[in-house]
Amino acid sequence: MDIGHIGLRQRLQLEVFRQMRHNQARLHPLRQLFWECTMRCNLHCRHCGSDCKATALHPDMPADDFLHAVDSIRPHVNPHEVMIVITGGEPLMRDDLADVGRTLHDRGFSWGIVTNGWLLDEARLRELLAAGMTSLTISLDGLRDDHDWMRGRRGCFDRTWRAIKLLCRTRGLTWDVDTCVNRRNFPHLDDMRQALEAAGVGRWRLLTIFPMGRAASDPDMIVTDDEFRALMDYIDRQRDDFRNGRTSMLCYYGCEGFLGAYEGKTRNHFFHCDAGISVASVLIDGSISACSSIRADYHQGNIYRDDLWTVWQNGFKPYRDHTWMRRLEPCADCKMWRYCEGGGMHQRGEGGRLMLCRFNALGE
Amino acid sequence: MGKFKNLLLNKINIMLGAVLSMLGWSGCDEVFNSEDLYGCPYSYYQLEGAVLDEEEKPIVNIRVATKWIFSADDNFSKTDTTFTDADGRYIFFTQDGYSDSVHVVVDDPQHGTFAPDSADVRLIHTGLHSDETWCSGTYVGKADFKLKKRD
Repeated sequence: MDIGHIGLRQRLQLEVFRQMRHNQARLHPLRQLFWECTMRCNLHCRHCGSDCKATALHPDMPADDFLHAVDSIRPHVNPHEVMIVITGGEPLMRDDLADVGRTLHDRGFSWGIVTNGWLLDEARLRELLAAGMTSLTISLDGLRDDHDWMRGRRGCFDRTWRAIKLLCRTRGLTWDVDTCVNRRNFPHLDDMRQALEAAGVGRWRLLTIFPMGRAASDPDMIVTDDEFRALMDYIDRQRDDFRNGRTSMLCYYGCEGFLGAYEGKTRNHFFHCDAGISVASVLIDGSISACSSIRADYHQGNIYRDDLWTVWQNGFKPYRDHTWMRRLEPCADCKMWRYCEGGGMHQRGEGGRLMLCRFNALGE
Repeated sequence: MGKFKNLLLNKINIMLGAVLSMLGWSGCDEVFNSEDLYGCPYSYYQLEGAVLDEEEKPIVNIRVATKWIFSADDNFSKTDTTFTDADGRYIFFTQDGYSDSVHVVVDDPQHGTFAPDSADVRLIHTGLHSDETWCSGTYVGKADFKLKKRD
């Protein structure tokens, strides 16, 4: 596939979507609020952008502090349209997770978690569902050897797999498996796909790792350009199988980067970065941001000092208007700027430098 | 941004979504749901019943108002109003987040003939919709009223 060749119909779609995206930035409806509830974690993942430790240098945010921030936005939103996603570290390390979830549910919000699955057994899952949890992402980075290698703890695969089998038997929860594709698990993706399908997994999200955190200095973490292109082709084929009923598992790529001719083929939507447009986050120290992987340079305030709703309404300017990225390479001369507009905010490093351009990676 | 401007932009995006559909894009309901994992669940609700007088005759065109309770602290709810038909029957359909009860009030402000009545109705879950990711199914309820005439 010629990555730069976008057919007429696809180009028209992208033009229409571009206008929708700009309108959405003006509207900036808050739809997802991430809460980095703890930095504690029971694993030691090779690619983690967080500096998680079992005890964590930064204490957990008191639940009341976060709930206070949530209450500040409540009069201004329809809570039924706002999903609160609890992340970490590992959220299941918090004993009060169900209590917080129940409180959010009682206030009308939907909520979910992102977990490594180690602590997710039947009792805990039942407790969280009873507290109103409606969404969950569980991370699995390969079959046994690959997953344990990636997660830095022997036995991790068995615990995660047990949790996945449990989720496959659970109703009333929307969930997916997410996999960070790296150089080690890339050759075994299809084995993994078969295992997930056989287990009954309905949704599989494939992500590529970004050169930040621990991953920045680990060459096994970042797939080559050829592997990335092969991954796009793989996902495209899987999605075609799904559309034609050959598989019941929907596969999709994560939110990262404009993909040129692959747009509309590997995800359920065209590329857009929702950070600051419909996504906000409250980080462990109270910082107000969008995604937790975005640099601190782009933090917009702090809940211990600022009103979250006021910040949401009046801040996030670099998120909602990307023209500042146009001045920086490689965006300055990029012919795909109209449809990409600088990629995702988390792809921006020091001084706004674009750390990795997926479109360029596909084209080389 | 003003409410009118917001409304206009939303309408424009809906129209543009329709244009995307015409251009062959099949994922319009998830255009901005960047990961459909992070959407919000919703359910369908149906409430119906009959309003009769003490002689079991249907009361026509009497007001039936509902308050759907969507949060445990009653801080978030939705109201709706309808009038009974020629058979004294009413029906409500709505779609929103989680609720398992609705407060129903029947009154006659137009003529003042009948004394008002009300009830809290428990909604019963009827099952899951299989083809909509975030749909938690349909809840149904039934509430019949027998109104007394005012003295």
